Amino acid sequence: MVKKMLLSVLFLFILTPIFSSYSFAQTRSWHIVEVHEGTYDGFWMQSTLPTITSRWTPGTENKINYEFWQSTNGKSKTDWVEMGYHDGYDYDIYGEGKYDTSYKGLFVAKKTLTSWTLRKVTSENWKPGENHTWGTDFWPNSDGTTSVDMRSDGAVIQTYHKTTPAAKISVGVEFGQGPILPSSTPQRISSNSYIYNLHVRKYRPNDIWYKWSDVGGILIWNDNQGLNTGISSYYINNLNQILFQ
Amino acid sequence: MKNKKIILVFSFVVLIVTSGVSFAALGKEKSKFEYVTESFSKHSPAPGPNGEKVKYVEKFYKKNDQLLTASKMKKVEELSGYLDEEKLAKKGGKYIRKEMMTYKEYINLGVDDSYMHDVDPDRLVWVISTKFNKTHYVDGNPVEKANVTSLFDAETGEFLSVTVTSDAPNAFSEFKKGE
Repeated sequence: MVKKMLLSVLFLFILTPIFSSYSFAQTRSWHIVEVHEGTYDGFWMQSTLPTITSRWTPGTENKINYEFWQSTNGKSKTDWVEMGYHDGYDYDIYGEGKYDTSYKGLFVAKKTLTSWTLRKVTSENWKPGENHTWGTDFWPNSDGTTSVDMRSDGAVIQTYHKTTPAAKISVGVEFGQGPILPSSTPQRISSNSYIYNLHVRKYRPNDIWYKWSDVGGILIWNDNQGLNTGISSYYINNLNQILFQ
Repeated sequence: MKNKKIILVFSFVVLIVTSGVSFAALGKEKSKFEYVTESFSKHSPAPGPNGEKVKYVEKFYKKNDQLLTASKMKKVEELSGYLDEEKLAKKGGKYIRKEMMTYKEYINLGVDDSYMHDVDPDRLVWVISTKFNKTHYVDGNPVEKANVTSLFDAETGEFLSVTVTSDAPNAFSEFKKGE
């Protein structure tokens, strides 16, 4: 009798996250490369989108974002603008993850200490195997505020106002995984994958772009947080390139 | 003499009227949309590191066909993930706004500080604002007493964006990135 009760409790414990509207225990890991030196009012990168296998199924919080984020407003962890290719759960009307459908495509986002906003850019119809340029352009307004253009493939897609560049740009892969994975196979991106043509701009409006390899101060950060992602990020200085392998 | 008086009074009246009009014009504030679009008109996107030209993206969500009236647009209940008031209340939420308007009108609400260049200002959108009275999970991160505003394309029902704010202090304290 006690055994049956314990098994029932254990069964409920396992099933509850599946039938909850959301789960609270997503684990995140990052494989990124950062450039630290100075404050940049422009960023540029280029990449062929890798094949991304997020291992998402209905009810799971699994996702992979192939992305960059640039710190803003003098803060490094709480304020940023972000752009990337997402594969995993969708986003719902109330800002939660929408765990019954998936979204694969381009997104842009902005976070501050007091807000978060995200845009699904389905109109761009991004797909793995395509080559894209992405980046930012911070510019001054006549009232003294600063705006940032989120750009891709020679076009400004979105502009965020009232944001100033800060000192860090992080580029790489973010994995998010809920407590229940549909199979024992980890989430993956195809390797070798590259992000290249990395540039930053300083001291607008002179529009002087610098290669990351010339700026220096490169920091590589691989943090698995217990997830078996199977890849690591590297920076190849003479090619000005991030390698995921 | 009488004519001079008439001219003087007439001139004085004209002066008063034109001054009033001028002051009125000075006092008229720009809408947020006007401010934003004026700033774009003064800005040229910077070229890329190898001289790549950059321009504003073309409109993907164009102005709705005039034959498509508001009644032909998606109903709010057809928006993906929409909950009725009762189900929303179980999640601790309450609708503050469920309104169809032009994208220009949405910009003027001042909900967020972003501008989508691929959406025509006259494109009809659904604006859904919800207030939550307890911890609400946003993209997997807890936010206290969240105010959520979502934007949908009214013609296709397509989700465009979501913006979350909060009146609670340190509401986003757990919402961080990276290290």
